[in-house]
Amino acid sequence: MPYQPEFLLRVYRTMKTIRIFEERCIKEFEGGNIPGFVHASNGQEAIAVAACIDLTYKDIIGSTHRGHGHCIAKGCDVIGMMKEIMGKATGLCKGKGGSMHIADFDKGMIGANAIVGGGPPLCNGAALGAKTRGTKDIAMSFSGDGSANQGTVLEALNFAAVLKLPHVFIFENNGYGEGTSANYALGCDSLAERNGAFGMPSEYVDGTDFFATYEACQRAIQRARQGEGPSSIEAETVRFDGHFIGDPQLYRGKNEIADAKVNRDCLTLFRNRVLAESWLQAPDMDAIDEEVELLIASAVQEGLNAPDPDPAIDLMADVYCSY
Amino acid sequence: MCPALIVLSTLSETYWGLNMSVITAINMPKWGMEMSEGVISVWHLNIGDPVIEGADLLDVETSKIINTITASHAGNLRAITANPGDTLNVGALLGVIASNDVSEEDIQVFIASRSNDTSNHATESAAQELAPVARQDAEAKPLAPSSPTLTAASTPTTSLGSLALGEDDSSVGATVVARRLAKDYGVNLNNLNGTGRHNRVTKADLEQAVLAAGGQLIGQSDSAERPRPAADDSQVKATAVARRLAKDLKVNLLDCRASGDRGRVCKADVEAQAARQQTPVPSTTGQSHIEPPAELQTEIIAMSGMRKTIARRLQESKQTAPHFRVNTDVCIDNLLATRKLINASNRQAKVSVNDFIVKACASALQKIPSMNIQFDGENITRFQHADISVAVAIDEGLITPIVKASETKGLVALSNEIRDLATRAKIGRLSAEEFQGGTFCVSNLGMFGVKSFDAIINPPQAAILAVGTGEPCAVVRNGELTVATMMSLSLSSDHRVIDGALAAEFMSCLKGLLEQPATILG
Amino acid sequence: MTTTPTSGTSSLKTYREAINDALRQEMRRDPTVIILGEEVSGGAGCAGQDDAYGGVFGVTKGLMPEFGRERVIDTPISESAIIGAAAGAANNGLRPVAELMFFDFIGVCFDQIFNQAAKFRYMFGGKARTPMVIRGTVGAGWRAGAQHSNMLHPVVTHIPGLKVVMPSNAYDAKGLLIQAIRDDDPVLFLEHKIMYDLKCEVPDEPYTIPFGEAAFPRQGTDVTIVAISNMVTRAIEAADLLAKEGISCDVIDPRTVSPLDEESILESVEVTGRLVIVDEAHERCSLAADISSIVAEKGFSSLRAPIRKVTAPHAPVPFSPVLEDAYVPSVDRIVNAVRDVLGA
Repeated sequence: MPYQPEFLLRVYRTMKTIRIFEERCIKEFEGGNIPGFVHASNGQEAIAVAACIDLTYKDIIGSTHRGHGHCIAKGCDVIGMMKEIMGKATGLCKGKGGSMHIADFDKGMIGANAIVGGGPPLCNGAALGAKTRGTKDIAMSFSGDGSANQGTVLEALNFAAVLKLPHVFIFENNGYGEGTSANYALGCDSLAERNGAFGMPSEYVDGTDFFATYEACQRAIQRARQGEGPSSIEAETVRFDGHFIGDPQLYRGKNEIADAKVNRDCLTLFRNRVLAESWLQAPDMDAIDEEVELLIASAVQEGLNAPDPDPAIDLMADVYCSY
Repeated sequence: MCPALIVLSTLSETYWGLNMSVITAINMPKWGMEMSEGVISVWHLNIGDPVIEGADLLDVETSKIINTITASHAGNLRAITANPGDTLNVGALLGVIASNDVSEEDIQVFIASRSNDTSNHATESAAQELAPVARQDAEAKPLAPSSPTLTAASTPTTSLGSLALGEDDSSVGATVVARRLAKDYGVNLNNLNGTGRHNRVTKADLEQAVLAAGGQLIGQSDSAERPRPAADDSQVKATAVARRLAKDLKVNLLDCRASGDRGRVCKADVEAQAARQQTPVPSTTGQSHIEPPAELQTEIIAMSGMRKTIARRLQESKQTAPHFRVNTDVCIDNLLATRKLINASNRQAKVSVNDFIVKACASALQKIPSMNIQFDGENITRFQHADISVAVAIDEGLITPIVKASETKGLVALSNEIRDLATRAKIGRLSAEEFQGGTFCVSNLGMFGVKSFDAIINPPQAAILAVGTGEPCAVVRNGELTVATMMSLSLSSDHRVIDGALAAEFMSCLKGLLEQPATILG
Repeated sequence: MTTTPTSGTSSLKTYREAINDALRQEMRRDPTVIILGEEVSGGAGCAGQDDAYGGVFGVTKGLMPEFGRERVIDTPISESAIIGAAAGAANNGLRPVAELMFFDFIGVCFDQIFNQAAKFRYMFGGKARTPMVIRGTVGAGWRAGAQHSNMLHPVVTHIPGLKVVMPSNAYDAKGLLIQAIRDDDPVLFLEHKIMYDLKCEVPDEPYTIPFGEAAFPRQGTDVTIVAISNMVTRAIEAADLLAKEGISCDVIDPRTVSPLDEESILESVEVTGRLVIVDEAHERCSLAADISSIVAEKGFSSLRAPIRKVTAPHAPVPFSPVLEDAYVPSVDRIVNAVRDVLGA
């Protein structure tokens, strides 16, 4: 067997946690328990988990506005995340960040980012830190197909190649930059090819296939750890929900989402594969399903019960280290 | 907003989380960033129908789309709170799903708990209209009725006659202030040359023209109060102001605490040290014209608006109303006993001695209506109701909120009203009609242990009662020496409209009421 | 200067509809007017509906179907390229209206604004004309967090060569946007996202409102309150509350902060002697600080009390609703500031 059952169960549990977390976020947002706007990543779980499952807490990731999955895959506490998304004082960022600004430095997660293309330059810095200090740690940035066209991202790709930084660029191509087709917004035929032109190994994978994505990430991570510089991976995937929760998604094709849920659900594909190969048994995964449901339900309840921040104290706290 | 999932209090917590008997609200969803409200188009289910998770509940129309709300929980559709055609805000309650074993009463309680939710009142808040701000040169809005109009000393004088004539000037470009003032001067804007932005007529253009035509400028603002020079200057970390002040006050900065920003000695620290060294710190009363010794620092305190008002009104009262005083001592043992009884028997009550006094004054004013008056220097106005002002000390000075028609109110109600007025007075939340007017005033300094004092009448009132503290005294009763709790009252009256005998009659009546408090409780 | 509507028909329109109206009428009148930005139509290259968004706040809805993708251009998420293209096109015969979905995104394209578009005319000796408009949404209140809620008007107001327009109601929004499109200089048109659903009576015909002329939504003689954008609504509310206590306020809405109607502000302060400035931006180096310095410098002798500023604190916009509500200047804070300057 190429994979240990413990590993596969961990993968399944993490993917499932992301799925249920996002589905509950949608429900709680619609119920009015989550303020602001939230970008859900359900459908894209395989990439986050494949990329992060073998990283340590010293490895750094930088995420996007659609960052819940990356946070969970990197080991952030889902209860702290839910409290944060609900704006509570005991959230991961004390309720000051919200869905688009979750960070957990202890876990090597330096922030979701509400500015498209904000993350990759920052991850170059994290990679430069590792390289300068001579550690084997790496940095990994997540970008969407939308941010692939942002100047900051293109500058960061070249910069990483020039300085040979231990930086894995993951591009999650879910087909849509907000409500615009990736095919329209990308001038080239292949994002993977374009990234390769920056002077780094660049691969395309089917991001709904956990195993293909995991193997591509392993290759890129190994190169980075061995001081061979940056790599890029374009992983094609599906966004099950809108750009933001509540997006009516009039731009999407008829039955597009329903079809994707039947044919391109990375969780189903994973389950089918491990059952077909007899790597895992269904009851083990069913048990995980139940545990995850309970975990997320308790995260929601704890989030609802958590205290609000106190404006008298928290409003002006942490603007500076010292002033 | 209300949580969508309400767990009934009767359910134990362990039921929580999986699909148990819960009340689920159906709320107006938010489809898209710009959606703020939606219109109910049709319900697919009737009240009582079973609901499975994911079932179509109702259609909602927004400015963009018609979409279907599906059930997030299973149960029965127990209530519909929004009907087809209704426009509701995002988050508003549309209906309720719960299993049939949830009682109808619990459903109603849940709906009621949501009913004061502002999001339900769709059209008011969503269609909240902002009055259009018309271009100011097309139609300047009239002043609000409450705003004081500018001095009328400015009616067009003959010398301005030449400026007054002309056609409709509403389309002449002018600043808003210039247009407003032109009206006050009676000047037609057609006669002026504009030198402002886009050749608008400015205030300066107008004033220049008025002066050139021999007119006078109106409403020149008071001369500005000059900022006072800051006090001033060593070696410890200190702010520049503190250092300067320390030099002047002969304070060594090493002796000061350093409570300022970044551990620096600040001005307050120097002042505190100066006080400890008994170096006189700026005193607040402008008591004398004697030049202070060079090392003394004085501070000029600007009169606040309220201070100025108090000063003007009380000076006028004292100078124009011939005050005379009638004093009496009242035994309040019965009153104290009654008060104890009331406060012990009624948990809502926290009746004070002063509340009894206000209540007794209300009764006395009803019995002696000639005391229940206002006087403006010419006319005496007698009132049906006893509107009694109660003096309240606040940080900025003094304010006298009014207990209106106090004779109609029970003691506890009166007490609660006075407490409310005093609280709001202290935080500056009284409206004008709550402290302007009144037919009589009670001022009580008893809580400070003052034995007795005289008060100045608060015009247009004609009398004020000054109340001292209650203290045990030796008194002779039925030829025997005994101890009683006595309180001093002093009534100041305006002799122009209240004579000695009337004031005495009032005090006698008041004394009777206070010594037999049962008479005022009825 | 001002073109006044003549037919007189008008209707209740939201701030969003008024802006849409202005864009549509100008695009009909002048074929060189184009719109470009992210999701200004939406659905480009997708299998579903075209014009799916019409801007993420629905402001440009319906324009692409009428004018086509040639004139209503959905762009990649590339703000520098969007603004640069607009500036270059403006130098070459078009009148582009570029959209920054959130004005916070000037962070990724600021060079194209302040170093390029703003300076062309001066730097090139008066030869260049850059008739472009950049529309962007500003302000807190949306629970949108620190990177989508800024009030960055002070940043652009600081730059010579840029005009900065901040309408506080639908009527002004339409008139000012038409003026902005017809203006030959780069104009930043900042829309507060809280106001999109506010309605007022707006003429159906096109009209313009000149830049640099303030409006007085309330008039009075005791205190001058200068407020901009969404704060105008709150200042009006404060003034109406204070009117009940007999305190009358001149509420001034400058409408454009560059150019600024200093004249009107100074004249009003000459009458009232007291000034409160309400600005949702942070206090330091803000528009509030700017107006305060102008009045302190040019109207010092009129002042009878220190100037009071009511602003957001020196902190980023917090996400949590309780914190965000404490962050944005409230009606209460305005009322208290007015009482303060009156010494009441």
